[in-house]
Amino acid sequence: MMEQSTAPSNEPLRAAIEEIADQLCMAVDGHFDFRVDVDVSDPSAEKLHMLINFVLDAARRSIEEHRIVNEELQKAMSQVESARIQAEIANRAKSEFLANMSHELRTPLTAILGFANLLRDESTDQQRATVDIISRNGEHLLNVINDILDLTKVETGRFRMTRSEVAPLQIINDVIADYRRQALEKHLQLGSRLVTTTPPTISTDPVRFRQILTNLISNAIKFTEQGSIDLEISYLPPPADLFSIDIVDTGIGINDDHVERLFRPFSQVDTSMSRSFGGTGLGLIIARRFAEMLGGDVTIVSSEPGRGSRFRCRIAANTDAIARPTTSETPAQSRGATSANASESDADAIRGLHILFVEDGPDNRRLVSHILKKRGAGVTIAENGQIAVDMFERSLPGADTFDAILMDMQMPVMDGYTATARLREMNVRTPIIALTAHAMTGDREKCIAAGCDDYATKPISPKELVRIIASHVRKSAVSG
Amino acid sequence: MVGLIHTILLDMIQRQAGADAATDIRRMAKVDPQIDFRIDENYDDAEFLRLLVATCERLGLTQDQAEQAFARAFYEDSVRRWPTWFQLSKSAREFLKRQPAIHNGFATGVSDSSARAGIRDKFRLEERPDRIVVHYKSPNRLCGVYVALAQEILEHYGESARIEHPRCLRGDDPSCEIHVIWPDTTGNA
Repeated sequence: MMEQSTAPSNEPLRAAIEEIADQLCMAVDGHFDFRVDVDVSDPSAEKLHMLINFVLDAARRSIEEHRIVNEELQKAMSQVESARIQAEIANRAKSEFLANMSHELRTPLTAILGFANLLRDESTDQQRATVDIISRNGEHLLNVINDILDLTKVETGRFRMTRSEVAPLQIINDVIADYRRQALEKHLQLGSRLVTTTPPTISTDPVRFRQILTNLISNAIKFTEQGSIDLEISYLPPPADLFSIDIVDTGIGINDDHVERLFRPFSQVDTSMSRSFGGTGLGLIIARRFAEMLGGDVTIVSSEPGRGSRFRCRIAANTDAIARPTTSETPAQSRGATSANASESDADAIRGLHILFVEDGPDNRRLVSHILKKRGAGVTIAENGQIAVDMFERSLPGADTFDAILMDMQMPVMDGYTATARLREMNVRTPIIALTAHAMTGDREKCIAAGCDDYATKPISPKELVRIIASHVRKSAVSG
Repeated sequence: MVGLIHTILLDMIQRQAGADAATDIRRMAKVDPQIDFRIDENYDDAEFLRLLVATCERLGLTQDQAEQAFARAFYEDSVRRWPTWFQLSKSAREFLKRQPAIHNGFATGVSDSSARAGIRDKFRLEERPDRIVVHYKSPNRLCGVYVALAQEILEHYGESARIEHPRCLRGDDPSCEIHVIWPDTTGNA
């Protein structure tokens, strides 16, 4: 006969564990709002029961924390998105404001600078000094506007670089020539020297390269009262492949503490400097941003208060695209047609041309007419786009004899974009050059899209205007 | 009674009879039209019973029909919401044996101890070789829902069993006694 077991039954423990498992299924299915609640008398089962509830509580807390963090994250993301949209709206508004401001400021400046130029030719020496003050201040104002517009375009990523093969030494030479007179007025020596051999041509954006140099040299002249400004030119061969210019001045210099502020927008070393030296403090930062966009940088290598500064500009030479030998010519020795020579030949080139000038502003009409007539061109005026279109539509006398059309783009009745498009629809092939006070990126493309051949911004530089007209009339003559 | 029950009923009404019917039934049952029942919170049992009565009135159903429809909805919701119980149970008998523990599990989310005890003490299971006997005791007298749910579970597992209900709260008995009887002694279909 078998002995009956006296050990306590495992049944209550088994039932308790079963029930715990059943209730745990709710957590398995992702519902942590429930706990395990089973009547247990066995100490091991009770311990298990308690531990499971600890784990469930911890999981619930963790889920709740994640939920809160997630909610906060969603909220923050929503706020960031909202802020981004607001910023985009504000940025668009700023761009529109800048475009309008540009127009509003440049239009009267065109007249001021243009008529100051005219007055200079007809003035006595004493009057000329006064006219020069008007011109200088007008130019200054124009530079400030251009700086603000440039920086805005760079900051909003709307600046596009147009690379071409350029002779860097010639550009340096031209910029030095432009500033030699200004340096001489302050009895400063302005010169350059080659430290290494350099490639005769590099691939870069010539306009922006020139602007970098202009900003750095004008900055050096501004802050140097005596001594010299020297440009030390060198080239770092591949793999660096960088064209380098050090601008070394004997100016006021800067403390180490202030160096970083130099490259912050609207920040001169101290506010008293803007009163003493003028300017917005944008020149250096624009130079640096342009250099960065051209694959380099603008840095301050050294500076000592009272002794001077050494700024360094480097841009990518991109010589892999231009396999040419290097040169040891100094900038002064570099060859090629100068811009002054080109301008003179262009001045001759518009003599005898018949130009239709479409412009609503009486001041600009008078100014541009004077510039063109003085160089021997005949000028016909149309006061808005509609009148110009009518001239061609009705085949008014002379309409077929225009060699070029200068078209203001913002006019009442019919603007320049519409008029240009209509003329092109009518198969008018005469070169059309847009004149606009806008200077924002995209303006040029907008004018070209309307059918213009080229684009000039106000205030109008007589030399530039003549050069553009001449180049298009020549092109038109060649293409027949 | 946890809010899961109310939620399933109202969702079922909305799905089958539309939002207007659900709104009407809430109004007829004097239930806050804005209240969003939480599945882990305890609510007044009487509120659910009023909803059930209003459902019968509004949709023209008998109590049996309403309970069967609710049981069907409850089963469909459970299969989606609590799949593990169905996976762990290999037969209808296993699932129905688990049911009192499942029911008690819902009480664990209720913080009030007396309310929790009220939920826990409704079912007691008795196992016999050919059947399970469920003893149900609740003032809500929702034994019809249990019977309909047991049918759904049998269908889920593809089993057939006979359900007898010899003692009922709706009569004069102090508790319900519901027998689920399988045709062979192993309890399998």
